[in-house]
Amino acid sequence: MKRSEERWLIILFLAPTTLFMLLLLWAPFLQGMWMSLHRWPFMGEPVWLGLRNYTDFLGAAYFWDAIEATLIYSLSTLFQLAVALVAALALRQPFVRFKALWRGIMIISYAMPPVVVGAIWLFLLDPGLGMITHYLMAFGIIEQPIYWFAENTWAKWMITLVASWTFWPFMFLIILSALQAIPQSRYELAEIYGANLWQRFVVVTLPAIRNAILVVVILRLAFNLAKIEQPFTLTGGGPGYETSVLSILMYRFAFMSGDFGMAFTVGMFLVVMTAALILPFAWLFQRQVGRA
Amino acid sequence: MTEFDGPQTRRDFLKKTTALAALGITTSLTPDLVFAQAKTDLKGVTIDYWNMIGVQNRLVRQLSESVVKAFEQKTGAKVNVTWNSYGDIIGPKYRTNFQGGVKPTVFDAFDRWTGQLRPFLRPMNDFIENNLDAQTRKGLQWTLPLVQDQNRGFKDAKNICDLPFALIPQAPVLARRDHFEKAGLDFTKEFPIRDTDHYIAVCKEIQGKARIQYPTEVYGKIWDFGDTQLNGWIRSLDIETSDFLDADWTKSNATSEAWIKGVQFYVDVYQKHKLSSPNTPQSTDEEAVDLFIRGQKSIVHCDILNRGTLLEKMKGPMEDGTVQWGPHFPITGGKSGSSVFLAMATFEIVRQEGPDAALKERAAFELIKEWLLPENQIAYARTAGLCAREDLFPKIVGAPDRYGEVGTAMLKGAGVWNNHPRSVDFQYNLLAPHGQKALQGASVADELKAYAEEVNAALKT
Repeated sequence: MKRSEERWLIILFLAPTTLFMLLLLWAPFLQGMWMSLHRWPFMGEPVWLGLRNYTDFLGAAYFWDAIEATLIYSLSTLFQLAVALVAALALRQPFVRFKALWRGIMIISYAMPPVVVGAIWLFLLDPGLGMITHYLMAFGIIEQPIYWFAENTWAKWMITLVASWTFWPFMFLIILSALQAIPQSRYELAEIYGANLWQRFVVVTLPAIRNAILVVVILRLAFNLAKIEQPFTLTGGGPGYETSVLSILMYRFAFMSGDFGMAFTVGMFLVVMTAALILPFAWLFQRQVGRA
Repeated sequence: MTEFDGPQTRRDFLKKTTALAALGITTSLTPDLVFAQAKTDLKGVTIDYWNMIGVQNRLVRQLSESVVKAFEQKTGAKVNVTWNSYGDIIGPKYRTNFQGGVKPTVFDAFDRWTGQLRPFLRPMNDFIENNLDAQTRKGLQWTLPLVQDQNRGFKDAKNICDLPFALIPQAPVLARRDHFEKAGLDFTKEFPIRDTDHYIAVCKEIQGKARIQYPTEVYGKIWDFGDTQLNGWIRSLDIETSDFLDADWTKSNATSEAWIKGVQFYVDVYQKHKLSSPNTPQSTDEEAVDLFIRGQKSIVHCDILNRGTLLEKMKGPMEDGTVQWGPHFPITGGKSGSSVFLAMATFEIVRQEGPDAALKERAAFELIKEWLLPENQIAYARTAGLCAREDLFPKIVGAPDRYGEVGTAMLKGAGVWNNHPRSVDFQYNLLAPHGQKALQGASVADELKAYAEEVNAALKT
């Protein structure tokens, strides 16, 4: 095949994806940017505002509450990673029996709709009716019920923990598949050289799954920051705006206030924040790929 | 309206309602047996009905299904039912679908959430005038000025686009007689609650003597803060400024004296008197009802819609008079004459297009008429609250829990919330965060001022 023909073939293969990205990703994104510069009601004519939505949002009393809530919520990615890594490593051990059964059990939370998981946790954590409060008190761990979603600090951490519990299996599955690709001979060689468990993890396991970890962290950060339904079910964004992560604010502006201009303004902040959190991991991944 | 005239026995109630209930169940559940012949010929007409009322409880859904079936049998029309939730109309589903051309022929909703859809709605004045039997029209007549009042900000406010079929006065009080007695209180003297001073005094007695740690609850969660008992307390101080918006929908009423006093009392129940649980900033009436059923609450405000759950979970206490409903009560010194806002479940017909538009709209109204039949009105009232037809009120009183007496007594002088296109935003989305902050200790006046500024800014756009 001639070089020019190859080039056309590459263009042909890339065209559908490029078109898809342009129409379904970049065009709506640019439209959103344009809308954020307007007062854009659900019904009625848009009005040009320039940067007014941005200055209004930056000046809003709830701005820092929302940023703080979003940053804390993004930490759920780290919790998910920790749980997923431990679970995947445990399941890789030869002495563990019924591996398929355990794998199935571990992905249950991810298989359920997030709203349902949220509702279950809302019930479990209910200070009057919930099982968790009941057992914490029964075992003398706490003397009084904790009102998890009514206290500002608890509420932020609880939506983060519930999100961690719901979404960690995604990371688990990818890390487990990376682990399973490591040849057993590498571990045997490390053992011959006298490596202990920790050293085998650092020298053999970690380098082999580093790329998988970076990929899932990038993906989950992006996915987690866009979550609306579960935190909204748990707290409605409150008390006050304490758990109004940016995605919830965006939803409220768009669908409860009918103010699409402001909703997309919040969306732009969410894009910037997501990019800022993802970029270091993307850079590390790129470097890793370059080395390989 | 029916006066609230004290308790009745179970036997009285059963005697009065057995025949009617039997008629309701028979006509609703076996329409093919009862209506062998079609009354109105709408053969070949298909209408789409978006049903929201069916999410309330299983019995209402069954009733909805049987009403539709009866309608189809009688008219020959076909109804495609789509089951929706409250969230669908409060949230984006209805708006975006309507805007995109996906519209039903008829839907049910709550009266104050339809303003956003008003351009799509077909006024029903002509149908009400010409196509409704005199008895039904007379029974519904009293609701029409209320419907017009809540749409007062629209140029076409005289058009009736929302026709009530059920009522939810906000918000009656549920009380446990056993807790009163445990606290040494004479239930017949101390219930119904007279005013807020009496409420606090009774709750404190129960808290101290019956050892119920938090005998009552005020609600902070987004959907309940400005939707249950708070608004009635504000109304008891001043009718004029009790709605979220002023008379011509140009500004918020939230900085009025009545609002500040009403919200301050609401916060005081939790902060000062410690009668509401620490969960208050995020609590809901559904949770309070659950705690009430478990004996951890003594006096709670909630919709009569909860009656189905109560009958299911504490049938005995509901039937032996241990659990009783009482009317909402004013703030002490509040002499406005009303402490109730009335929410109404309504039917809406969507403007149809095309050659068969008129026929479809007529079919939609025929379906509404089916819901307004006495047997269906009573069947609904027995499971989920109050029917809209005033002439049928005498038929729903007499239950030992007195829901009918209490509900109908509360209608006297009741106000209605505005149906502004952004009512959901004003009543829930913008108000709740400020309410929750006030419940957490922020200044009530400051929070209401901030809320009013947000509403006023939104009204200008």
